[in-house]
Amino acid sequence: MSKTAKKSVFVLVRSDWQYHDDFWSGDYAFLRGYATRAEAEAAIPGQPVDRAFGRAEQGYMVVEVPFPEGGP
Amino acid sequence: MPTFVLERYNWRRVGPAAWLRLPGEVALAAFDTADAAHTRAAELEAEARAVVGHPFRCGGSLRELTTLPGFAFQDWLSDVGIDPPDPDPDGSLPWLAWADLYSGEWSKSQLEHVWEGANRVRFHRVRERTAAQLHAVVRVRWSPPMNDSNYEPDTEGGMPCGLWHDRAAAERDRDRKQPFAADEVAGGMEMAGESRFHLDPRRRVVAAEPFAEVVPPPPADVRAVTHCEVVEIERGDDATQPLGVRAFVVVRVGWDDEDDSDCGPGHFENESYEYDRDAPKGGVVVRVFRLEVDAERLRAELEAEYRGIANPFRFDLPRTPDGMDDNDHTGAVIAGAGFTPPTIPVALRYDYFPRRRLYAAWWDRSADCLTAGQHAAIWEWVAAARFHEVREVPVGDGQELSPRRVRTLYYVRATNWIPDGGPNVNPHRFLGAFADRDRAEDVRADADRRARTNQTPMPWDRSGSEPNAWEEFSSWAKPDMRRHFVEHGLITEAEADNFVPNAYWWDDLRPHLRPAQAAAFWEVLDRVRLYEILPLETEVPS
Repeated sequence: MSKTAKKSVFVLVRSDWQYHDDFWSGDYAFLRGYATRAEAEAAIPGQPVDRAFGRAEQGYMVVEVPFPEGGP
Repeated sequence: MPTFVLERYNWRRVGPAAWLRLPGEVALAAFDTADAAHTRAAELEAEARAVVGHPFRCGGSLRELTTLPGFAFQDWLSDVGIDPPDPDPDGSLPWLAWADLYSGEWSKSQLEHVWEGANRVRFHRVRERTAAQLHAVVRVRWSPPMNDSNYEPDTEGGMPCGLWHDRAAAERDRDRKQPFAADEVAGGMEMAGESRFHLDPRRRVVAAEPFAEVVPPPPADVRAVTHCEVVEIERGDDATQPLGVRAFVVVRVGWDDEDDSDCGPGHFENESYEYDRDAPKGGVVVRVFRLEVDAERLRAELEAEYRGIANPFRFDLPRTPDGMDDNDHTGAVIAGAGFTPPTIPVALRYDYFPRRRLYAAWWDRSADCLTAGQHAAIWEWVAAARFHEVREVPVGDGQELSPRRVRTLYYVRATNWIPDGGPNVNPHRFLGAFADRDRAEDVRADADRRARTNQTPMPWDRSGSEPNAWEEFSSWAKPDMRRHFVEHGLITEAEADNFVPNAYWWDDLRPHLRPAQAAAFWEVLDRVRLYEILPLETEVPS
């Protein structure tokens, strides 16, 4: 392992984007940061139910973000 | 110390005077002594029998009512002077109509004798619980029905999304997830243009009380209803073996008989698979296991147990591999088992629900005559109806974590001004997280400055579909903007009339600009923020 281990935090993100009429609209909701990916995944309140015409366009994601000042 | 759990078999009211038993049980109360539990169970059983009237309202075929073969059940009735019904022209016995007609004439002791013979129609049981108990956080899924009305919840249970040994920890987890889930549903309603709707709990409340008249609460706002709740779940294996970070939960799937398209009273639709078999699934947690193989074993046992009494056609019709209704092979499977399949009138050939009713009625007539092999062969074909599943669920306190504290970090993020082809191409674009806001601002400003050298400030022009209002880009009045551009040589006096910059103009001009001209241009576009700072609560080790 490298001496200067990569420092990161993990952000739980909900995408509210939808694709309609050939372009995307919507935005992300940035919910909370966590020290590990597992903690962020455990905070997901279940993926959204499917809507009438297919898979939900909403969905949760966990994003790794560099924490250069020294993360957990 | 053992606890005695009073449970109700999972009966569902499917008409004014009709009930069906779905898989599983529902825990009602826990008692310290067996006597107390049995006393209460007897009281509830008597109350339920009084509501139901006679047991023939609790299933379509004799197989659903009793373990006795048909001839033995008829003998049982004859023992107390009750004559069984005469056969219909097709040879079947109209038990329900017969009982509705004559049960009023039965004496109390005759009626009790009938209940005793109908030994599969039992409403409550007492179970001794010795296994360790965990706490599951489940997500109640609210979804829009097909007919554009208020959102409705799962009929029972929900999607398990966390397990905890510690009740207080489970409640904290629920309290964290609840606002996330409420926001998500509210956002989904807004996306779908359905914000005018409310969330109507009626279906769930009514399903929870099959033997009582309940007045459900009125529809409520999306943030006023339960989205996440804590339910108890027992270990199904040796609790001395600790669970890891994930465990395997046997879940019985939820069934809904109110879907308006292809089911109706007494015919159910799997709530988990309404549109998409890969979609997140609801259900009711049954037991939790450390090993998947043990969970699978219980799943298979429960599946076989319920298949032994249920009518498969109440739950689904077989589908072809591409998910279409199968119209030809089901009849062939029934014929292959040595029976005459129901005749489907041409007019109903492609009408799903009436076809289901014909097949279900055929099963009710024929089930008592099926051998074990025939029974299994037909169930094998109707494999779409799976009543239990095994799901992997994270165990929140499955490993020791160092204590966490919450602090605000400042995240630098590219905004949506930078076009990226949609969120599935480049969705997040964080540059980093910083504890110090000033440091974050330096990083943001630097990134913004660098991006301006080659970034179009007007990405929306390219879509051709979004309004491109000048006020979104700048606080400058248009005449001031034009004068400023003329002064810096970006446009000529002749071009100034009605000039508004757009992305194509900028792309053409950009290679020919001096740095001072580019700076003058960006000075006007004071509302364009290419990078932003997002303060976000973050759980970090303390």
